[in-house]
Amino acid sequence: MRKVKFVSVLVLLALLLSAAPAAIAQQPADGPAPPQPLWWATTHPYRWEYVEGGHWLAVWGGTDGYDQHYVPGDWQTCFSGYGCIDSWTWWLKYPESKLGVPSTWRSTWPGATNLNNYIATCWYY
Amino acid sequence: MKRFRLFATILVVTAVLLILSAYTGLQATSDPPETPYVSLAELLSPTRVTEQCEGEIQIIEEYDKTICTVTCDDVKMRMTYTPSLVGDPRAGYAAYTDALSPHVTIWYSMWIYDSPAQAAMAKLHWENQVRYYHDSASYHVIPEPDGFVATAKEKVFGLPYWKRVTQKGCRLAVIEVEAMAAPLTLEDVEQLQGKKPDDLNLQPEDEAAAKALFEKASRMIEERFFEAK
Repeated sequence: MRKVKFVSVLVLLALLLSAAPAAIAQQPADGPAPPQPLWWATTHPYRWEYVEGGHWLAVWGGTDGYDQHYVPGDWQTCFSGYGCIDSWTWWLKYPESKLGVPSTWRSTWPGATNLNNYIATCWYY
Repeated sequence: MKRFRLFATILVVTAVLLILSAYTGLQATSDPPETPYVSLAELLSPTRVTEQCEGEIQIIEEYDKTICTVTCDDVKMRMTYTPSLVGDPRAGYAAYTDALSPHVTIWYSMWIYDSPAQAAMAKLHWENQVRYYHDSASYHVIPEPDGFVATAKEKVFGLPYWKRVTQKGCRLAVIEVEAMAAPLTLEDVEQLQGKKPDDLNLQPEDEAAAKALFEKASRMIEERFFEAK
């Protein structure tokens, strides 16, 4: 009988321990303040995002992206019909930065679909 | 001792049942979808494709917003749709590709809703949506029995574009095709150095072929997605 009680207590403890992390994860996010950016870096975007409405966005993992360039030469982006790369629109969606890349230029220009041809400076955590 | 054995047996049986139910659940998610979606491979030869992304829609929460998305990690790409356009679908499939010879881009998506009213509302949103890179003045809608066809021109170069939206009951399909200019070569780019942006004049490589792809995709989605239940 004691063994049965002992095992029951162990099972209960195991259940409580396995449920605890989930309960902690469900805490509302309005507790601690979001972390402050730690450093900035000039990097390549890490993926393409296609958004309804025909937008192609080059996505950086850091926030507040700026100083964007096209590695083969910024002048090449001036043929997009939407100004040169320094005037393209940023979608600063915390915690990422997304740069709008004109659709027809991206599809027609050699190298324009290559993420490694874009660089920008972002803040990272 | 007997009670302990009984208790241990119950524990073992429960564990086995839990493992079995988890296994069958995984099996269900990895089975091919019963819904008859149309894949890109059925529309275009893989040798023509330069980049592509397709798959079943995942409805996720991201930064406190609901989005419908297809993620293609292998090509570092994802497609997203917001509820303001697609409403609240139950399931769906989206595809995009950029193909050569002739150069054409195609996007299509198939959506399943819980009610015809929800699908009809999404159809209205699609009708009113004009792509950012297309000239809104050139956007022309032609009604069809179960939806509409829209035509437009790309803003800068005037490249032709077609969109068809069809809704039948709880199902909705959207097909968009743009006839692209032949991709520029590095030699073309060298010759453009020092010239003005207006000097670039792009023409569709094969407008008729792009239109034919649009009609082929429309036909296949009609036969597969709408007629097969």
